[in-house]
Amino acid sequence: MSAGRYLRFTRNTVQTLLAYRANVLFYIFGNIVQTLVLWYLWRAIFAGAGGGRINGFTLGEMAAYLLAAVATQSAISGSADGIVADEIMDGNIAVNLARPLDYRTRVFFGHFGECLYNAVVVSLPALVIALAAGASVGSTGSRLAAFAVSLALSFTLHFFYKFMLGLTAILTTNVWGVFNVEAVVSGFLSGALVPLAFFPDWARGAMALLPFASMVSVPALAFAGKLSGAELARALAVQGFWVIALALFSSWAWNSLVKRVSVNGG
Amino acid sequence: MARYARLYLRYLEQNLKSLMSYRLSFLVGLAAFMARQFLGVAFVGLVFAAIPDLAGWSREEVLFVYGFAQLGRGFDHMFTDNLWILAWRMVARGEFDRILVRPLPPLFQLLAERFQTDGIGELVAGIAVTAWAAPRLAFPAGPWSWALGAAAVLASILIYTAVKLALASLAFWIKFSQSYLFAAYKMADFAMYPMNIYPKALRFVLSWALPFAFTAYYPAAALLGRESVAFGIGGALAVGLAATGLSLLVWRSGLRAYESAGS
Repeated sequence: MSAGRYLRFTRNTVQTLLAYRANVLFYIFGNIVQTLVLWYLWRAIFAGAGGGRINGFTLGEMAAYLLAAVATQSAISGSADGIVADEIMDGNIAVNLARPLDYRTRVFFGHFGECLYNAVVVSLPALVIALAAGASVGSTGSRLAAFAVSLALSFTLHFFYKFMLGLTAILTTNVWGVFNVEAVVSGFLSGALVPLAFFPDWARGAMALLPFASMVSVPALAFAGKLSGAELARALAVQGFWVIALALFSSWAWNSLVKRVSVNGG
Repeated sequence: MARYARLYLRYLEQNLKSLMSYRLSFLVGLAAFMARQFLGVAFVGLVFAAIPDLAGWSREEVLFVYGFAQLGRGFDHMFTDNLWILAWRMVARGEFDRILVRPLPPLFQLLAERFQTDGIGELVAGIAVTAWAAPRLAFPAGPWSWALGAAAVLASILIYTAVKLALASLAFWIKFSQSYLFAAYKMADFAMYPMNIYPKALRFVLSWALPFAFTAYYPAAALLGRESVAFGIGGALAVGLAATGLSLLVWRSGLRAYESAGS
């Protein structure tokens, strides 16, 4: 397999996104606003707690956690699910299955292009503005390294997860609704809004069995320096487990569902 | 008026028929918007487990504002969702022609064409949260509280619809204005929490530029006796009417500027 052939899909995606710059500006603005709402809310929450720690977090750590969570979300926010679902619904998947390229690999490189674009163009301005608004972040080299490793694992497992989600288009026509429910639920369970330490014990036990915490919470905690050496190793191992489990599961789902694809002729 | 009501019901009937053939879609959409509201409440719950109050607002008060914010938003979502489609593709693909060739006011047709049941999810969640919080607070303080509450919801609907109509109408000039709507709706998220947690400049924008603060926070504060009724409810109605007037002006000049897509 030559990567060059597939990298074209990445370049293509980035170029398409760049062509709609004016619109993208408004999406960026929307993202910044979302970050600011969270930041002001947490600042008021900490002021309410008398400036001390809440569930083990200081305000500075919370700022670092939220910024890393926003950065992580945009760096993994490709839409492999949308790509797959659109192609299943408009029938283009038939053409693409006939091409001498591995379908999942091709989708991966398109997804990767979106992630690159979102990480650079969407999350950087949001981070800069949050910092200017008074969020202070102290991070050391080893924390950044842990964050980078954890982010790479999160990105990989999230791709397999999204790819599988796109396959639901074979089973239902209301993909938009499915994606909507999924976005809301995973946004909450991944720790993107509230660190998982705020959840009651029973909820945390349940979440330990799900892959969502590995998507956002782990890299964000690593960045904020909230994981000790042993905790970090364990969290990374769990992420590694999900990479393998979701890779295998998505291969299985793909192999068994692709036989059911029926495309309307035309 | 009676003629329009009858026509609207005919449109609604057609809408509901198509819903019947996509029953699962309907349920999934409803579930999605209810899940979002439920998780918003869970968020407030998790936070208040750790702190006694948020900038002087108790958990019940914050949830009252939060629930109240969903009422106007839910109503608006049910009845004016087609504006999102206008901003997305109706102008760009020339689909708006269809509306101009029929002998009914274009705005009426546009709004009547789509009834969005997802809004019911928001509305039900909003009512549930508000109804939970209200008896734990000083609401209702008297029979007039209900009238004031209804006026406030009306103002809230006017503001949401006006912002949506004005920004969607921009599509008549620039073809695609959904990104503007998206950004404005993100701004509306500020309105779900007490305004005094935000800096002054932001509060000013949310009160007088994109007046989402009047969709929930000011009226809810007035209903709880934290703001004067004249400002919280009267102000909301004044802002709602002014915004509606402005947005209708934008819509009208947009109609004149509309050029169909060539093909």
